[in-house]
Amino acid sequence: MRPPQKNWALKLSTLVVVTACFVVMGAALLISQNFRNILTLWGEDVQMTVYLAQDLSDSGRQDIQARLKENDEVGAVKFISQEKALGDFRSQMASYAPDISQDEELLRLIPASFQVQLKSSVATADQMPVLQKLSEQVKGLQGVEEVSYGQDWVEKYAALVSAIELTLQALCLVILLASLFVMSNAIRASVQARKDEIVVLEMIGATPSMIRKPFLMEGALLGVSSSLIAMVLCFVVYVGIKNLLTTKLSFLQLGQHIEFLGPVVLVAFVCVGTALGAFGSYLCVRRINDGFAGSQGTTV
Amino acid sequence: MIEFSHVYKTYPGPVHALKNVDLRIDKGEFVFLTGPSGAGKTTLFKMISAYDVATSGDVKVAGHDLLTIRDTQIPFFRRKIGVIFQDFKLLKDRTIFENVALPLQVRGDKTPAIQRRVYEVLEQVGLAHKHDQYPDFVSGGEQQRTAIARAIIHQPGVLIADEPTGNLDPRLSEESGY
Repeated sequence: MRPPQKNWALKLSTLVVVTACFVVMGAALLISQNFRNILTLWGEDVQMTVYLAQDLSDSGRQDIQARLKENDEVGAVKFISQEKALGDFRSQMASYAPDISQDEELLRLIPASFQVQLKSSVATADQMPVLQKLSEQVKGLQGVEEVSYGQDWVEKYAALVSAIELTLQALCLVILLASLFVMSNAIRASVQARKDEIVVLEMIGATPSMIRKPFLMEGALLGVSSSLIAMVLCFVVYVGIKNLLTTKLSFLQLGQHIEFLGPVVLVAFVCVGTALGAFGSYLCVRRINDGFAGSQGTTV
Repeated sequence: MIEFSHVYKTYPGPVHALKNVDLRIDKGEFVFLTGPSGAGKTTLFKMISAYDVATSGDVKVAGHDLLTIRDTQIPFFRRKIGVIFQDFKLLKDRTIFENVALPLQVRGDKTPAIQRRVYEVLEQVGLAHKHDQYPDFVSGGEQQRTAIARAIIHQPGVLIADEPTGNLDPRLSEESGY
């Protein structure tokens, strides 16, 4: 005959609670990562336009282009000729102000330009000072009429990115601490349910490490299994959201930029989950042999 | 074997649980400790099993000075004593065999030796035929005999029984011999 499995309900509820903690942590990581992706995507629009003088010769233009390209932080430099700029202007304004688009004199005032994009390796927070410095350098070049890089937009964008990253980091830290607290309590309940076993093991001369070992193993196993289940659940939700973004919400054009956690993050997540489970158990059983039987009063 | 000399134990309050206790129990002696509730039996039990330390005086059990014993030595000291709890404290998810084998496993004995010794002791207490049963599926008397088998399997120098018949009806108490 098998023994009554009284601890099954407790074990299951512990697994559910700890898995829920990991789901929240995984979701926070996913949101953080994808938010960063989207912000980086917006960041690609950060560029500088260098307007050239009307009478600039070809060699002068090539000289400016070479000076721009030799900067370590500059990624792409694209030349927009006056003809191209005129064509673009016409196509953009035709429907709004047909008269302006036909005014040849006015259109001749639109200059040729270089569109300069920074390398993707330049951090969002550094974009503003890099652009400012570059702007100062370029303004001094002969043949440069004006430099524009949407100062207001870049400043606001950098501030937004910093604020969001800081908030997400704080949120992750809070969730991590809350998860440790919840896990530790869930495991503590499991340890309390087995206090008789601890009393017996203490009394027959088991060393603290012998007593702790199965609890630490159980905690680690709980951490592994719940973090794996949490990752599977997060993946299911991720697939659902991605499907939604590529079908019904495709107009947002975000579907192709949403990614699941990479293999390194996944492995790190499971490792952290295992360590948290074991550490949560350790917090509950670290005072063994002080001990359960002694502190709880074994009556005579 | 057990020696208390001018032992005092005072808990915060202050509550004087033990006052100037002198006690000597030699090898082979069989001693009953009786007294009303609050007399200090629990305190004495905790001191003999190294769960508590005297406020003053000397406590020696099985060759160990329990006032100076190091924490790391306590588990090894406890392997020299055997304890029978009032509520038996059997592990319900382990068979009678597994419960009785625990002290030898903790001591690190080899499996064949453990099996041989467990069957020997189970035979001695008349439970060999129930070795694969779980505690919840045997009678109170059989649970008590399992607890006795677990307490004596490693041949301890000191055997402490905490009201071993407290949870049994009078007929079973008589059968058990306490």
